[in-house]
Amino acid sequence: MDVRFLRIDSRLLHGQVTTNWAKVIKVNRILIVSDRVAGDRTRKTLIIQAAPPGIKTNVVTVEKMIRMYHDPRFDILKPMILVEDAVDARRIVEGGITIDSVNIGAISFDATRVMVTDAIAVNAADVAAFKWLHDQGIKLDVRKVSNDSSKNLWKSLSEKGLV
Amino acid sequence: MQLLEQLLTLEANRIHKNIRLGEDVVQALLGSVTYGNIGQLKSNIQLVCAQGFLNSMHNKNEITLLFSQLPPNIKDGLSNLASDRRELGNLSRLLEATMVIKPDAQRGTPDIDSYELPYNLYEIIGDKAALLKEDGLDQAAINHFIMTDINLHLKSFYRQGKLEKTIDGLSEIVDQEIIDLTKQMQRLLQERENYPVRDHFIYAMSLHISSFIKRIQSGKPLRNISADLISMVHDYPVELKIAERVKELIRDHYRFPIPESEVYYMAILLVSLKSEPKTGKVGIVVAAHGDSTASSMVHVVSQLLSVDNIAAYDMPLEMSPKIALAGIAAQVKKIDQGNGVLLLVDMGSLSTFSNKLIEKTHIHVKTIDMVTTAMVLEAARKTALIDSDLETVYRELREFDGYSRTIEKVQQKKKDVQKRSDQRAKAIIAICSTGEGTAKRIKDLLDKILVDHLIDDITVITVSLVTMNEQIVKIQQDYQIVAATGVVKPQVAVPFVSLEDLLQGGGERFVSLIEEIDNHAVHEAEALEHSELLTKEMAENYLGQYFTFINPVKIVKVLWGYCAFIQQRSKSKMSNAFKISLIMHMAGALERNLTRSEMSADEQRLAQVRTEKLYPIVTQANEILLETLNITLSESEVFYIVELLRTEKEKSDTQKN
Repeated sequence: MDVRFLRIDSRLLHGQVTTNWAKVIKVNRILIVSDRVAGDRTRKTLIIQAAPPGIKTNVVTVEKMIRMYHDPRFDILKPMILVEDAVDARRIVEGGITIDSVNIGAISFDATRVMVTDAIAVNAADVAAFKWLHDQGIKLDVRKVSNDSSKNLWKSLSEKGLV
Repeated sequence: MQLLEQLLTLEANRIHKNIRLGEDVVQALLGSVTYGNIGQLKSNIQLVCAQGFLNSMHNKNEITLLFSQLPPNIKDGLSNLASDRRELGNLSRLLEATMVIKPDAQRGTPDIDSYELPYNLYEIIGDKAALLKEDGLDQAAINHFIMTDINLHLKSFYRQGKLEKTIDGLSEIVDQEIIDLTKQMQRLLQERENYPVRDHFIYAMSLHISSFIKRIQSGKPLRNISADLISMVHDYPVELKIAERVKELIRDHYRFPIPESEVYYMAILLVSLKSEPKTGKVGIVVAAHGDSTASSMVHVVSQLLSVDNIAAYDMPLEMSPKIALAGIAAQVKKIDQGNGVLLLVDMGSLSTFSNKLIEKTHIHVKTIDMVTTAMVLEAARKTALIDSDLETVYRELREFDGYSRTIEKVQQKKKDVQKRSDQRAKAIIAICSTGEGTAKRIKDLLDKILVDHLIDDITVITVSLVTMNEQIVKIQQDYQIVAATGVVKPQVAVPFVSLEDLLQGGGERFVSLIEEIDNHAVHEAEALEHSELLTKEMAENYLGQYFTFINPVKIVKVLWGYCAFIQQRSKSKMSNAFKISLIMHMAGALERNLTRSEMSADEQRLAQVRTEKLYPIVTQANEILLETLNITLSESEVFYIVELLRTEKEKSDTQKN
């Protein structure tokens, strides 16, 4: 399986992905990897309905994503993977999926988190996961859409004194 | 009329010449076929054009179709048409005295259909005519000779038209040459050897031959004959003899020697084809009180699934049970294909009919009460594809409690299944005579579908007919067999799908029967759309969850109005699901505006979007935001809003097609 793009975004598949990323990156599948969404029928249905025309979209659990990645029958897939948070991104990479850069769109603010950029909020678990990803030599590319200028999340985290 | 022109253009394209024809020829052609029979019209046009081609062979640029030269059956068309004066009158107004059809590259050849000739008729005529001329025949004799030839050919071709369609699926994986050879075999075996062969012979045999030939061509070593195989075939002298004949036919056709081992494999194939009489589907009769309750349920289901094994019986309240019983018995008889009938009823006396019906019709009948449309749908689905027997369908349907199960129930069921099932992985077995040819192809086909639906916990295992039973026992040690397919139905209590059904696009359905694949996604999307869930409150909820600086309660009202405005101005209906996504996107745009972190888009795209039809509608809608919130969105944000609307429109357009 040739994973073309890995993106962290709390809202997973939405306007920015359908109108921009799905068009600029050549993929034949969108895989939404989230244990939470896989068990939430309403959200799952809404997300699948937001898929761009012509690209099949599935919601799978992290475990299944890793299993499929190592199964040669799925070699024909060239997917874009969307995850909700850094922790899931780390689980996927730990499971053996090769990627050299992770795109981060938006991570919603909540009581446990602090804002590090205009759209990205992190908590302790997120920071740990980002640190792990950074240590693997994976680039943390902050862009909402492909045309935005890329910012390095590691720099923002450092400036905030979080790492 | 337009159709006729189109068909003629097709011919003109084929011969690269103009076709000139008079009003009378057009009328005769149109009159020569019964209304709506396009295949026949096409055949007739090809016939007269071939004839015209023959008569005008000296003319390089044009062929002329003359009424006087038409075959008698087409000439009759004019008088047929003349008997319908009004039709003729209408037509005459449309017609010019002479029509010239030119080859037209743009119109081109439409998609090849089953009525399309597989080769260029005109080239054959040209070649054959040249040949006959060399033999010293005069033009008239040549023409006569070739016309008879063409006539015969077209006739046989179009007679087969119907059969061709069902074999379409097959021709995707097997060369047409092999299919033709197999058909020829079927005919020869039936006529000369008096050996009965059914239609699925074509599927099984052509697949077998095709893989055998591929094997030879690739230079792979030939299969050895095992002792098992020989002893097994020994019990079937008739099939061995027929296989010998089949071998000769293949040898004569391809002109290479066929090893003896193949004869044994083919004999086994023949035995299995014979021992597997194709039983029909389980029939379904829906009977319910009310003037149209049953028939409307059946109507819905047949529209959704295009099935032919289902009938309805309406029982108005004043009808006596006796009459109803007779009526239902008639429906049961009509729908039975030898495999029993499932009777789905609503209530009361109807649920007590089983035994009386069996007595009356001698057909096995099982009754389930409290019928719902969902149950009829499930029954049709279960009986449509797989040769499941009445008892299995009955048992499974009794457990059926609707598609819209709550998640807890599904999880409960999953737990049950896990408890019941062992740790063995799931497998589908694919059976063919060698376990290496057809079965391998089936495996490829199913694997593709499994991958497409991201099902990774089912393995497809190929099995040879010769040692089938031993192999299955062995497989069962490591796997839990969930379904079977191939040339013969094994003695395992799992759903089985025949080769024909599988090749006729039944693969998807087959897999969906075994695994709950996301086929329900469409149903679910629809159910969600009509549920009470997708409301302002839900949007508010999501807004609160994903955004930081905007006030969901206040903003959702503004954005709901925004959606309504766009919907009204663009005159296209927005689904509730899309409304939610648009509200979320708009809230994001507002928040980005407030935090001065708007998205970017390049100049070229920005210039392009201004020409979009949706652009002025979005800018007008944005006025609402300016008026109520005193916020003006940037041009690149406008670009993304237009893009989102455009993508949604594109999607709903493709879905409609």
